Amino acid sequence: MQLVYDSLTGNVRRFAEDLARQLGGPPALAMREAQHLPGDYLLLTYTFGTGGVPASTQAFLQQHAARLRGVVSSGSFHWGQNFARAADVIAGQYGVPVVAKINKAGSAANRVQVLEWIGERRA
Amino acid sequence: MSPFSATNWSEPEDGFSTTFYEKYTSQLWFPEEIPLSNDALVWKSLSDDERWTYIHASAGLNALDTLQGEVGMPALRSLIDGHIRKATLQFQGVMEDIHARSYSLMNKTFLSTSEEREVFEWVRTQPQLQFKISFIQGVFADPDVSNLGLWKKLAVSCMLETALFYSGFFYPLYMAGQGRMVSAGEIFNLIILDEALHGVYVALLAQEKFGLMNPAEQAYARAWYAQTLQTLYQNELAYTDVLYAGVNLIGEVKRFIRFNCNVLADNLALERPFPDKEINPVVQNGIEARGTTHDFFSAKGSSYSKVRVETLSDADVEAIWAGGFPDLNVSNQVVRVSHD
Repeated sequence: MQLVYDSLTGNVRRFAEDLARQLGGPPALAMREAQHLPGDYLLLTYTFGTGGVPASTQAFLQQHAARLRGVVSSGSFHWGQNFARAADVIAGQYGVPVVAKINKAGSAANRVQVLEWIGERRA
Repeated sequence: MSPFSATNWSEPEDGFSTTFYEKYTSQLWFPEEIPLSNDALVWKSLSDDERWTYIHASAGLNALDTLQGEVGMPALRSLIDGHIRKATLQFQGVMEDIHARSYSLMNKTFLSTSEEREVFEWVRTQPQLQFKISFIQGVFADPDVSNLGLWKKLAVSCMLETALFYSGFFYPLYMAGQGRMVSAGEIFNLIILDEALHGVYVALLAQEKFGLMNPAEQAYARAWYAQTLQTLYQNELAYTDVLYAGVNLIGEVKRFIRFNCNVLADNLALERPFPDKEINPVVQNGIEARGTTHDFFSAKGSSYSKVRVETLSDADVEAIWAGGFPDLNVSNQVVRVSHD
């Protein structure tokens, strides 16, 4: 499972890179470098404002929706019900599961959650 | 002297400042738009200790927002390059002043004049609060404007807004999470959403400065940060002991401060200083308690979104009155006035 991320503050990038290190497979790809995706991928992105999907992520998904298998969104806990809502929006739009919602750069428990999801798909 | 240029919003100075500026203008609110009168009766039903913690927590926040509006944001604005960036920081300063006014309006609504005076005097003499303010003022006033010096100023601004405000924010969220003081709670939530964005924006500027430092400077910056955070965290613990002694929440507040210190570290791309722990569920409930007390037409709340304006075009008129304006010739019509 390829990891593809969109990051503004670096939080999602650090989370994705850490996962890729633990998986020991290919490095996580920044969205702008992920124009030719050979296989399935997990999208990691962030939420801006009142539950919005970043424009860069929206544009990417219009080109690469076919191999999208799941979505992770980072957010700020301050937004309450709209926390990391980009994950819900993308999941609803493309019919994929929300794998995790993480506060900022995510916790160790979040990393376990995503690694387990990837592990189940391998099995 | 180089010629003075105008602000060109068509040529962004970076990938994010315009987005933040637009977000700030779209979520602009004023405290007069959220009626506090519903909370006046609730206020009277609180115990003396509950009232004391609530109002002194918000008075302390008033002082910190005053500091940010009057000292912090103008200092950063004068030192950061770029017209759009300066405009964005200036807007943040305005927001801080609006927050300070919100706290003051709460005092005015809930307190007698003599009680108000007591609270403002408390702010002037509270040792931990004054220590926090003078420590941060010292960093803003530091003449070092190298990348390291600027980074320090940006970092302490983030410390304030993302971590050190939360000893004060805890209690109104805790109250709102129990369905008490919900209108005031809505104001606090609006302030928290503003501060959350300020913390991200200023941290992005800080990350940029950090990236311009050489490895030795970066190592020094990390060590300085760890020491500064420790000093201010210890001060925050002592402040919490004073502020929350009467309501038996000291341990919970300290946990919330540590949680927000981790958020701060994430924003600045530094190591989280504390183990990950969940937020108190009542506080979490207070954060999610929004959009319940107000609607668009009666008042603004944290569920409010600013009206978006669209220019009226001929096509809009044609869509409504396809085939012309039948009532234009009024003199030929019997004007009926309906009373049912």
